[in-house]
Amino acid sequence: MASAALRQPASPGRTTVAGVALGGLLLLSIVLNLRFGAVPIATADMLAAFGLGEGDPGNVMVLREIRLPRLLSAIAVGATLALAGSALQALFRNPLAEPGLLGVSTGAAMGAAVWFVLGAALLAPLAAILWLKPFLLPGLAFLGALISILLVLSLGRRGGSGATVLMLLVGIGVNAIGAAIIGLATFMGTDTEMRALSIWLLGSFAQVEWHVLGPALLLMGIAAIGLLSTARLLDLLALGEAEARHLGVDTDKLRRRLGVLTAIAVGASVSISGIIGFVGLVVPHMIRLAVGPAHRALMPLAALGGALALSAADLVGRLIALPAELPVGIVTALVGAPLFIAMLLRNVRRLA
Amino acid sequence: MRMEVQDIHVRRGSNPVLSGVSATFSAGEVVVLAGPNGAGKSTFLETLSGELVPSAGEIRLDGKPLSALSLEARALLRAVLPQRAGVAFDFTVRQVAEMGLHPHGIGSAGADGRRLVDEAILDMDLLRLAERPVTRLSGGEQQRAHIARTLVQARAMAQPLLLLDEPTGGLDYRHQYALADVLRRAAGAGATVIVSLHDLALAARIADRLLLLDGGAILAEGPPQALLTADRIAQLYGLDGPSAEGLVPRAA
Repeated sequence: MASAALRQPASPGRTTVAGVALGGLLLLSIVLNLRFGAVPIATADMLAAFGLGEGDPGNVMVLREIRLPRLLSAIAVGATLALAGSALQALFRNPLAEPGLLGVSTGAAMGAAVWFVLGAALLAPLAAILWLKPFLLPGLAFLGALISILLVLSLGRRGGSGATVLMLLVGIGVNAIGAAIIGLATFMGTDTEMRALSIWLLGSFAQVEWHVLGPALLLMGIAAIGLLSTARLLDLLALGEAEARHLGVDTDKLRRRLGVLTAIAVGASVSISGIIGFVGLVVPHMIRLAVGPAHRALMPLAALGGALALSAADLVGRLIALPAELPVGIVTALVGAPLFIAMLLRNVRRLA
Repeated sequence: MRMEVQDIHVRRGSNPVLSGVSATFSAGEVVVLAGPNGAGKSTFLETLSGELVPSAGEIRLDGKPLSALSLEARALLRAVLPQRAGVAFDFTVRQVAEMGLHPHGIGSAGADGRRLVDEAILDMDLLRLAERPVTRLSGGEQQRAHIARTLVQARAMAQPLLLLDEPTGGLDYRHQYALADVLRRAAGAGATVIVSLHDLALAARIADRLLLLDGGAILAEGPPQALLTADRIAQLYGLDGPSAEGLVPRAA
């Protein structure tokens, strides 16, 4: 009798409901993204783009070469950033940890800026290796992200009452260093390079093409699988590092693994879309409110939620100012920054 | 599980915190560590858990050096309750208790896992709170949730070693006695229990053996009734005679 009363109540059910709801909304977002834009596209053409029947060749081309890669990158970047956010939050034991706020995204952008301005000249010998070339940009972005993560981990991971403030302050510092180096690269670049860089820094999927998307998708996939596989260990980190070690977790190894995987995730994301903030902060937070903090449910749902959030945000950005379009990073910041401030205010007592 | 501690020295920074501590702990006994603040009780327990590495001396578990065991291997032999256990994010009491299953690779959905978790939740009187987030509970209730997790981890072992640092912090009398009972039963079933306590009456109630620590060394050890004289209590805690007299546990 006691064990019947002890049965877990709604939690697995809630996870299923949340999964179905997010999956349904993501499907809707996919259809809307393919259908609407500067040129509305009929259902027949959408089917034709996937090889089902005949359609207008121009519309099929728009779908295959512009909307599909753009949609895929929004989905992948959204999912990856949400996973990276969940992982950083577990690592810092803090719901306010996020790739953007901690300077990891800026670090990745710093690596990418170096590529845009100096890359072609400096890395010509490497770029001559054909299969390596598409990985150079995400590779440099990864290195930049890794440097940022190492900085934040070594400086901002102290415990105690001021932990949140310290972490956010270190994030501000790392962001400032990254911004300074990006500024330097911009200053050294030509006017054309400067314009390309500044649009890309706002966070945008406008420049995504299949040949850059492929390598980035591969890297994001690897990072996503790696991060998802740490879910159980991330739960134990919530107890504290010493307690996790008492339960057999090699926390030093886990921290290194999370640092590298997050750097790959953020590096690959930033390399195709620039800096898109707040997805890694807001999405895991909302999912946690809905299904609780256990990472085996939280992380897959956060990935779905991130994919939904960015694909929807990009749809809004593309439609709101036709015929121009708003960079998706501006849309996410407009929604995410107020939510971040609300979270800060709720945590304000802990920040003393 | 037999634990042998041979002449360990531990430093924190440049300060020696433990100097030359030796002790042996055997299966089936409850050993209570007592002593004033700063005596080295927590450091001693942290060293026994493997979290702190002694600068000299050795700790052996059933003859094997602790330092040679991996974190995974240690987690299968001993469970630890640190002094200030906490949890980030709103994990429920049940989820925290289930974390104790992790080292054993037992799923929480299976019959074994569920039985271990249910028992620990009942023993710590958490049934009513099982689905509540730990972060929203009182200090004593949170402590009970972490004790439950430690019990789950220990009870999945054949001959567990339990290291508990002031587990009664924040617990009311009913739950202190419930914990005392749980620890006595664990020892009765073959566990080795090492626990630090401030309450000498509770110590006398559960200890087979008392280890009095002072200034990073063992001042005295033995059965609590023999050890806890008014003179020794006065000396150990720097108390006057009547105060110390009031702390001498009455014979059971």
